[in-house]
Amino acid sequence: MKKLSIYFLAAAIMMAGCKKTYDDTIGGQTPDQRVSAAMAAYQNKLTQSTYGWIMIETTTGTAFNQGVSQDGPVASFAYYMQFTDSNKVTMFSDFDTSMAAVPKTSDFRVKSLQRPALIFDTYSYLHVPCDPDPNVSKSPFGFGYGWGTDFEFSFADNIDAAKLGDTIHLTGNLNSAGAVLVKATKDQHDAYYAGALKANIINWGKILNYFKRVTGGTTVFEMTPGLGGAKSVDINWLDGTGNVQSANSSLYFTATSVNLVTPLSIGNQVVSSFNNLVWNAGTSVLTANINGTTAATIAGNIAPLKNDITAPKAWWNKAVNIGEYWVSTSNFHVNGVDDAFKVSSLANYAGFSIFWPEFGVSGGINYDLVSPILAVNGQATIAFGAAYRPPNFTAGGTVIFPFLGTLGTVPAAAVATYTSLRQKIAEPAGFYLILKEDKLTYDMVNVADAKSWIQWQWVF
Amino acid sequence: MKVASIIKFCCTMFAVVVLASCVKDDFTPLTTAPPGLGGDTWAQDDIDKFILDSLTVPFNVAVNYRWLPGQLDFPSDITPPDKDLVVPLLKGLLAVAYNPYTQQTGSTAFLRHYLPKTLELAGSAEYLPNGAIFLGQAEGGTAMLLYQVNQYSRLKKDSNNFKQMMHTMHHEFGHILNQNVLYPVSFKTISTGYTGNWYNISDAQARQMGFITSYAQAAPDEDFVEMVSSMLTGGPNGPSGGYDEYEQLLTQAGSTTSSGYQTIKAKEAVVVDYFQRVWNIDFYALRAKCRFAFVNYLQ
Repeated sequence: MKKLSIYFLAAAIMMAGCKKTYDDTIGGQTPDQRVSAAMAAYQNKLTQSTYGWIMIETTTGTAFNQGVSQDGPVASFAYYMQFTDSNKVTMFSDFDTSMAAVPKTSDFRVKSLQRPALIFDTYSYLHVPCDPDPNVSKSPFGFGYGWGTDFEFSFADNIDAAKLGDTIHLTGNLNSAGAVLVKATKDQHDAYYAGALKANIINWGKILNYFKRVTGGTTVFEMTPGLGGAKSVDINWLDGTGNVQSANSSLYFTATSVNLVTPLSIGNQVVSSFNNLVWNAGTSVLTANINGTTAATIAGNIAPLKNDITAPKAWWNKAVNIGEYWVSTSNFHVNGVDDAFKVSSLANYAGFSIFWPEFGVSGGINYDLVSPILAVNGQATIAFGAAYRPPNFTAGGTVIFPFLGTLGTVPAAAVATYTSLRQKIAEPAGFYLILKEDKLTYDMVNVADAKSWIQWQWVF
Repeated sequence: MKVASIIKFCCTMFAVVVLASCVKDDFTPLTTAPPGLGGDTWAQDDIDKFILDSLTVPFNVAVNYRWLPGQLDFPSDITPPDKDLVVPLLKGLLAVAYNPYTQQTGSTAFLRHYLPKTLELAGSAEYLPNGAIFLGQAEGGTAMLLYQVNQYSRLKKDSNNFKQMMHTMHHEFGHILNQNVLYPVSFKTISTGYTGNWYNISDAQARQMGFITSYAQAAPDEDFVEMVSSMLTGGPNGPSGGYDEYEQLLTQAGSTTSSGYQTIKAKEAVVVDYFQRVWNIDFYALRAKCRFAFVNYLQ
């Protein structure tokens, strides 16, 4: 009898254990139905903004390719986008002036990956900064890397698609670049189609001096090019005790403003954007409204706000102390033109030039050498260069390089480039040396008009 | 009741109860297909129609031009193609790479059978950490990856790019053919000195060593298909500095008595023999058709 009751007990447990009372739906919908509904809701959100969206994408400073990462400057890019039901997106980009004025249409789709994803699935302006070809992306990260931007994003707000507001956050799937989509207004839409973005980029580039002095109310500060090229800026100002304070930020352009990704605080003044840019060709002054309100002027200046008079010597000694040299990959920027002397067009150019202090001795003079490096039989080679006497470090914190002579034989095709380079460095007024925010890179800016500069990178 | 029959009864009851209790009658019927089942969907446009009419129906080939990282090399910094270039590129591909085969074999049947069933397009190349770049890949006879679509142009002055792409196409199709029927094993013994560091050798140096391009030096498989593609479309870094015809490339190998020249010629003989015996294709006639198509296509 005892055995019997055990069997009945076992049977009862089995019956209870197999009783199915749960429902495999939520709100009457299967997971597939809910995923499909969510994807449709995300897509609707994008397509139903009448005047489109402004997207601002900011990188982390790291770019990935095949699991290998490269570090470089943080950069921001801004786009205007209009999404349609037929999976098309039309956009403008602040990458350069051509993309700022001509809209381009490409494709997008919303897809359920591990998270809901927004994929720009054919080539658009958004893909340009992540193109692995450095000739396209203009990226300083090297061969095979863009700027570390993305074109495949996950929706990052962690809320229902239906509850998304006028701001949508995205995170890139490959490089983790952050992006934010903000619903555009009619005025913004009209400004983009009227070419205001291109006008802003052009106006911003009108001042050719390295040092740009901003005066807004009682606030004065200086802007110089940052390490991320034209899309980044270093900012210096004097604190109450007269010491230089510095900050840096990447920049992006919209049809209505030039914006700092990292807003700047000077005293009581916060600076996050410059609106209503107007260039006055007569006075060479750019007028703007800081944050859209405070009237300000931006003017070129030929001298820094406060020169670090120890910088030239520190720069020179750093290489001399270990018998090494400084490297420039961008060469001379003159009057608004990058690589103005066309060093990168030299036959067999190896991708960089050097400044090598105390390179050798000639006639008892320990000379410094400036040379574009050429690849000869696969070897980086100093084929020719300009030699200078030991530099003259002035009390004012500048450095002058007296020309000594030419090392090696300059090929006929390289004479024009070489002569320009040789003469530029021998400018009698000399150069300022400006230490950049990474504390490893110096910009060498000419004293005469501050419209020529070259960046020296430390690679040791 | 005997104990044994009670146990039997209980076992029967137990079985009935177990079976009955597991019947489920509250399944929610599947009315919505799982998202993504059968591939991604989007609003079809002219490009999709062109692909269907010109490639999928006649050649049984699907073209993935929209971003599908899993079909390329993941995770790499590769960009998708510009949609404005997809149809022009495919037209070029049909005119210069597919039509000569169709004309030579008399029908689309040959390509329909052997062409890989998917063509994956990417806008940029794939950059490898060692500094080399991928321009194309053949995936086990089922897929062909074609990179650098965004460089496409049919202008004569840009013909190097187009020739390089077609070189890549013939290269990859060569792989597909010899993945179906291997080339004679004797081919592998014509040259020695295959190396993974092929990218340190210039094309001109490789020719003197008996390889038609430097990449041919990577492995016998690559050597064979580089011979195929160089004979059909020419090869890079020839005497002109750009893409040149096969005969001109040979001048870089050395005199007609040099070992470089003779090695390449020996490989040529194997290629021609392979196409004749295995595929019943007169390779020289095919080459003439490829060249004619090229000359007519460039603007």
